[in-house]
Amino acid sequence: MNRVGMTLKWFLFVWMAGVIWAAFLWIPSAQGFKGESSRIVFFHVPTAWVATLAFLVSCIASGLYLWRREPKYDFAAAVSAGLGLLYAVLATVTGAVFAKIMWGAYWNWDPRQTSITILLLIYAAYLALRSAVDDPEKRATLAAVYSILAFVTVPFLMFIVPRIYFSLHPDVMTNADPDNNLDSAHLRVLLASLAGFTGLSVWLYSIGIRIEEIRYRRRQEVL
Amino acid sequence: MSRWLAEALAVAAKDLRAEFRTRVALNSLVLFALTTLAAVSYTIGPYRLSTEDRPFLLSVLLWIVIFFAALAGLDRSFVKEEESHTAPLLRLAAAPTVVWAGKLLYNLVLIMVLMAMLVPLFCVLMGFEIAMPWRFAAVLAAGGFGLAVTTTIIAAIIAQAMTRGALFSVLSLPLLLPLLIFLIQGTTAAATSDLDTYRESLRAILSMAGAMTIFSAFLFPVVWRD
Amino acid sequence: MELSTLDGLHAIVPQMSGGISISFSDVAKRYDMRVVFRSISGEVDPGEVLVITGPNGSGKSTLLSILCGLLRPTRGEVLYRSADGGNLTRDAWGRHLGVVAPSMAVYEELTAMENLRFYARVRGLALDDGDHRDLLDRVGLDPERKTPVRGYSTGMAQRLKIAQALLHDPAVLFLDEPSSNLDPTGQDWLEECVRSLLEEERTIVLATNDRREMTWGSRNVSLAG
Repeated sequence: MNRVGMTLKWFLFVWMAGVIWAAFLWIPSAQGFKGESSRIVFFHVPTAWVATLAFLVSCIASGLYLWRREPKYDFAAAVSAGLGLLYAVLATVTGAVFAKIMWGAYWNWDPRQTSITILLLIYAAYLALRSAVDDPEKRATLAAVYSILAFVTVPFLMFIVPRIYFSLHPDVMTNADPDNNLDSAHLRVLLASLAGFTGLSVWLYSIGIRIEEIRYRRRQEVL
Repeated sequence: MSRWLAEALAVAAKDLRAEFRTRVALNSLVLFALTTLAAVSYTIGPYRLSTEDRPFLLSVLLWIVIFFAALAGLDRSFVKEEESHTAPLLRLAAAPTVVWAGKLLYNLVLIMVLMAMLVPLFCVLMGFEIAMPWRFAAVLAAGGFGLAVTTTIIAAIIAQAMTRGALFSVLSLPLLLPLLIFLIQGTTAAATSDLDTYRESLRAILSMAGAMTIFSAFLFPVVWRD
Repeated sequence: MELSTLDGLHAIVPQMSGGISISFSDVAKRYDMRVVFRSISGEVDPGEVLVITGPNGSGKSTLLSILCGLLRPTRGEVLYRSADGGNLTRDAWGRHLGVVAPSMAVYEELTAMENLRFYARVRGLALDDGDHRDLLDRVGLDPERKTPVRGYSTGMAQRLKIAQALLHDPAVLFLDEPSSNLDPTGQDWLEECVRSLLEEERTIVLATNDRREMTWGSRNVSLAG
């Protein structure tokens, strides 16, 4: 592993350690949140953000694969889908814990919870499809098509469903500002956490891509 | 254009003729729907739900039965071609969009037959009172179309995979959930004479079905040909 | 039952005057980590038969599928050249070729007539029932034309497959062990059939291990090893 990579890896480690310390020990509990539950926000928001970002990356990579037919786009789609699933699960779990503390129930099916669930289902379905097709080219094509179809249904969820159901998410409950109830110190920690999680996922993504490239090279060696 | 249509109709006619002789898909659809309806009717019946809950809950139940019945039988259009090894000759003889349109039409007919049989029975057995029957029918038609379009492309995808059984439902459900939400809402609105919500739902359903149609038409050739 | 040859079959589809030549170079196929074959090349012109031979499992049917355009090769190129020198795009190949293969079936729930009607309609051919009856008569299936294929013997089913392959009067024919399931009379008839098709400047690709069928062709591609 090269020096730049090593340095960045350690930097990320220190950064995330700092974020965790700040979230639990440095920052006091926020106003308007029950108990210590505001601390979950520092982990819930970034994981939800990465999960959505991964979905976008996967869909765009799928589109590029169908257009260009280059294996690297399939790697990108597959790896980001795997990461997206992981982060979607984390976002769902942290969100459910938060919901339980704040409003007494783990699950309310408010728009955000509904959306993340459907995202989870899409990821799981996508990965199930990939594991059901042996031939790599066929797998890449079918997965890419499914990814795009999933992408078509998502806008209907994101923009239309919220208008129908009453949402319990904080940003709707009080004024529309998504970071209300958080003063500037909280905001800084949140942004730091966001940056840290993004860095973490970029690192995991690069590992995943390297694995796919190795698999691809092995196939190429055979023929 | 008319030649394309004639070719697509040939595909649909062939599938319907073959299906009529063996009735495999139709049996799956109908039996599933009837069994579920019997269970629901027996346990819940027309009396157990409170009046204000009825429109919503009955809409939910109706669409759940329709959706799961559809998932039980609509993958056959493509899976059968692959399993019977008739797909290669079809690939050589027909243009991809012809195959897509023909299979879509076939699935559409199956759903309409299912609904024609199930919906009146459901309404009678469950005491489902619809305030705006024509609008109710419109939601059913739009929903049936959305269901047909989505299941057609997913069936084409899974027909090329190895483990097909559960995969069809697993892949279809995330794509169908938003449609389901709006269908339930629209049906409830039609039952309760809520014109505004009805219009909003129908708009959403039609745009979802429309988007899925356009994307399926473009993506199907990629799935169908190697 | 008299089985007649196929001379005089109507040219329903505008026949590629001069026929189609097929050439393929360095064609290889790999499925994940399994290599079917590595580098296969060959060519065949109108009026010729290309015979593909090889032990069971060597990939004859796979190569045939690639040459038909049903499968994409992992490497290599397949070209269809018409008499005027132009290359046909892969999407257009299907119009000009007919295939008879054990791995490709016709519809069992339909009758022979319904099968032919379907393939004709879906190809956009202006054929009527009289034409179909003609064709079925020539392959010796006319009496059974209204019975579902499910009830056919393997020999009869094979003859229907042959009829289906010839329905649209294709310039190219792919035959994968076509004599299999045919009785001796049928085998003789098929050989005569192939001869008359060659006289009409059609291009034939034949995958086989049958000693008799191997004698039909001048060109040879072997998939052994």
